[in-house]
Amino acid sequence: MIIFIGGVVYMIILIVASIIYINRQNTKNECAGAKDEFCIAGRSLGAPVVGVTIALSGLGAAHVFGIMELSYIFGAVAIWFSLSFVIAIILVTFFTGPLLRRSEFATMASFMGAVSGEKVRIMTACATCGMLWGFNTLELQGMGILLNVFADIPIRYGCYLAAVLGLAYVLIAGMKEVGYINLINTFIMYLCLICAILFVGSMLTGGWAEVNNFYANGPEPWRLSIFGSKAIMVGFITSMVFSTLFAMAVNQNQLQATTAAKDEKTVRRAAYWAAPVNGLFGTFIVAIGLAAFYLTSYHDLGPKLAGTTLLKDAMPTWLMIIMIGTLIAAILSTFAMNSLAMATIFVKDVYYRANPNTTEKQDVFMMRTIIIILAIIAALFSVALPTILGAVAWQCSFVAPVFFVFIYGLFWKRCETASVITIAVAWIANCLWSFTSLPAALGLPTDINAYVTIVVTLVLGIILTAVMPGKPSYFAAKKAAKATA
Amino acid sequence: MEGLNVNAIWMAGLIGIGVAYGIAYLICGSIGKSKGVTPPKTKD
Repeated sequence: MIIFIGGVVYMIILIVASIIYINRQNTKNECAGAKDEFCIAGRSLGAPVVGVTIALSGLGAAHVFGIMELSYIFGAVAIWFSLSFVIAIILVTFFTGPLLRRSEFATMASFMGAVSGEKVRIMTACATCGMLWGFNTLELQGMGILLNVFADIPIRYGCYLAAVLGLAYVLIAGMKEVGYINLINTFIMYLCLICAILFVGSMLTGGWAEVNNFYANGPEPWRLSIFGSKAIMVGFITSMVFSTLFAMAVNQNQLQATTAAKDEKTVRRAAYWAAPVNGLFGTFIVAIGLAAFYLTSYHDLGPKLAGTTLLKDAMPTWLMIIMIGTLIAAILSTFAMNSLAMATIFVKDVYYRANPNTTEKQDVFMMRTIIIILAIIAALFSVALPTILGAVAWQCSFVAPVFFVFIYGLFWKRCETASVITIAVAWIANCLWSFTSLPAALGLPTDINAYVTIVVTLVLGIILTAVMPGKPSYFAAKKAAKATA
Repeated sequence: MEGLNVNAIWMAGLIGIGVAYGIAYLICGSIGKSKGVTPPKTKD
């Protein structure tokens, strides 16, 4: 219980410190109440804040618990879950992010509207918000499990409590609050992770080499390879990597940080913060998962509890308190950014159709209302306890088709009808694959939703875009407009 | 769902959120129309 209370106190200190700093900055710069201050920080953030916010937006319960669980089950191949996010971060910071920042839109859905048409805009908004809400239920579930392990709080109440803490993370000052908390938390979290590796190493009589020798000389040496066994790599890992990679590249929760950047150059510079902060985290967690599998007393606890219990036993209480605090903050930063992203999409792509000339105060009120409503619904559904990585693969499969349609529109041809049909058929295919016996009828595995939606998007999307009439690509149209001007 | 082992109620909730955004989009569009508001168009 003391660990949990200490962790929450750590988070509250972070929130209060960040609010005080933001208030001082706002008073100094007289920017309080400026348009888009709440959702995209008035487009004022520098590379470090943008970078760590992109990194921590994609680093939540799936990273902390999913990778630990996966490395226990499959070995070092689990690192691919983390690597897929790093590749997505590179796509976001060098491709989609700078484009979105240059366009001056606040949401990817609005940008999709400019590229592929109004109907694609709302389809992107619907798919993105469904996925982000799904991620939020998983974040709350992860927090519920964490609170259950460390404070004996029933998972249901842990999920509710996590929703309240998550709201405190974002509700007061929006984007700036999330950004500054992330920046401070990242430094402390990495210090704790380094300490964790040292303390776990001190529990091993032969140090980390002992773990290495166990796997290298044991019956399953592939557990030590990041390529694992062929069956795992082809069947599970690549499907998960594809779905997360393409969905994350157009995901509002990471792109929102890029829209808050000062300029395009800042977005590109943010890559040097975001990629290592997100990617290295997975390395530490995989190492702990591998050690937990090796140590007999922890191995017997099973994949869900082995790694967490090992950490709990290896580290002194004071360090564990800070560690749990940083992990709570990391998980809730994803929850906070997802909530802010969903609220921004609602205001910019939905609410503005009825009230386009609102003030910042009205926008903030609407965003806070949406954030609270969606958090309550997420808390209620999070107790359904879906399996984390299976759920991630399924929900990302709804957004992955958007990435390909975006590419067609940018470089090849803009055809709204072709894009709408392609995305709709990919969604139907995703649902048929999960809700019917279609996979069994075709003699194919049931967990390859990502392949199914990507194949549909590639085959149908290319055929329809080629056959149907459309407008020149986004870049061609821009070039022509520039030449005319 | 057997392969993915994902809860059906949770899946329905996720699809429901997406559908709710779509319905809100249509409602806001019709409110804007009745008020004679020109919705902010995405740039071409």
